[in-house]
Amino acid sequence: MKALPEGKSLGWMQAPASWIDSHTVRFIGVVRVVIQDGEGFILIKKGKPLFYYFRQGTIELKGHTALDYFNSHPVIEFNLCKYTPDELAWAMKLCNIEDHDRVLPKGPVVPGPVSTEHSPPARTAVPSVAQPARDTGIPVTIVIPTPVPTINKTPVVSGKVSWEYLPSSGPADSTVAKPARETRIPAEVSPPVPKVEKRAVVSGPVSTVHQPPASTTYPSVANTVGDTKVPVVAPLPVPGVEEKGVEPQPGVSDDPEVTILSQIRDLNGIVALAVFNDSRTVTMMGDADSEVLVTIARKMLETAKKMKPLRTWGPFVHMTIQIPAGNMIIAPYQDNYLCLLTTRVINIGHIRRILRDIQQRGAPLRE
Amino acid sequence: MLKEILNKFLILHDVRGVIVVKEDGGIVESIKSGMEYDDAFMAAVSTFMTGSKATADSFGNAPAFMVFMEFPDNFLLLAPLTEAFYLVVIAQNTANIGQINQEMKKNREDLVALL
Repeated sequence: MKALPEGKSLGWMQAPASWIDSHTVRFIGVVRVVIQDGEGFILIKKGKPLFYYFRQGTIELKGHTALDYFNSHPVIEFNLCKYTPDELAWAMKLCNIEDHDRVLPKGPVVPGPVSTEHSPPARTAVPSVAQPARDTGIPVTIVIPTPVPTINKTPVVSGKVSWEYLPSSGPADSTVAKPARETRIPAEVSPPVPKVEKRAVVSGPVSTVHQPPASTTYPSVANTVGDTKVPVVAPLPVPGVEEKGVEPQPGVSDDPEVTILSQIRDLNGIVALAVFNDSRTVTMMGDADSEVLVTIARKMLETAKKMKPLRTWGPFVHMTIQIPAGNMIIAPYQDNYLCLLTTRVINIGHIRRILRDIQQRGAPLRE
Repeated sequence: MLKEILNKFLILHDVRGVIVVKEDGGIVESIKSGMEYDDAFMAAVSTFMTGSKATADSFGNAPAFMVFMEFPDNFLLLAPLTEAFYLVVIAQNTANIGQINQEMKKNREDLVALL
């Protein structure tokens, strides 16, 4: 497998995935996306997304599945890399995308009568042809665009290419996403339902044959401390799945602090939160054993407090420990400490933003 | 050779130091730019490693973990190379975490091969 062309990096950004759609009207190139341990890209030609791809471990997402995963994050980190026409052509070739704009001339090449037979609109007849991926022998479904009744100077190509989720048949890109190992994901495993945002990204008919990832590399989250079963249950962090393991708790008071905490708890990906100090747990919300949660949080705090030689750096702002099942965060909160347990849908950037929000809402963090 | 690879991190925007550390807190290799490593600092890095490891062990089956500790102007990022070796990146808050992560992915195999 060959790598996608590097392109010319225009810089790294943190923004919602929707930002990419609305700010790449003239952009030709690849947007390299990094989310937690996974990487992917969006191949874009003048605002038209041609290919979405994401890989985390052995899981590969393509097409709308990958897009849904990008959209499931409030903010993603990405690098805009500009392509020359040749680089784009090469990238499209690697992704098995036909470049109709390059192939077809603007005017009719062969003079003669134009057939006026009715051709069914592309939306109604989209025969899919399984083509072997380059040198892998793994079928990749490409929806061949059918003729459109009207004659256009430029061919209609947007959204005609459909990329199913096909394990181990990723595009040749060793830079952003290395070729999949020979890992077949068993189809019979019941897949999680991905979060699908009602948001059109590609302006044409798109076939969305979808086989979501059926297995993950994440370990079970029910953990044990010693012999104690820890009910710190973060839902399996499957890409694209909106996870909310917290039931609203009755009797939320009008106390502004409780309101702020409730709002944090209700954020997507937050499993539980606790406010604690050295001697007791002040507040506990969410689906976790408060004792175990706070015990672990205190261990983290102990580490943070031991970082004495770094005091010249100022007070510690926050500490996050990221394990395959999720994140555990502690931060000074008023006279106490705040502890958050989250799923993997929240990344470091998101955590930092949440903590900044808390500060702006008048709950200053302190050490 | 190890330093050559670590230098790839150091040239990233606002990265100030990179340290390879063992899970018991032992320092294997380190490079820096625009900051000083004294004994107290290295002891703090060791504490960061061992304390984080102890916390991760509380989660049971969490063989690999990553830790991010933020201060007003700087942060420490601890990421696994293998189960026994970790990379600590010291950077200013203006550094790009995504870029650092990507560099880690790119160079992890080479780093592991040298350990």
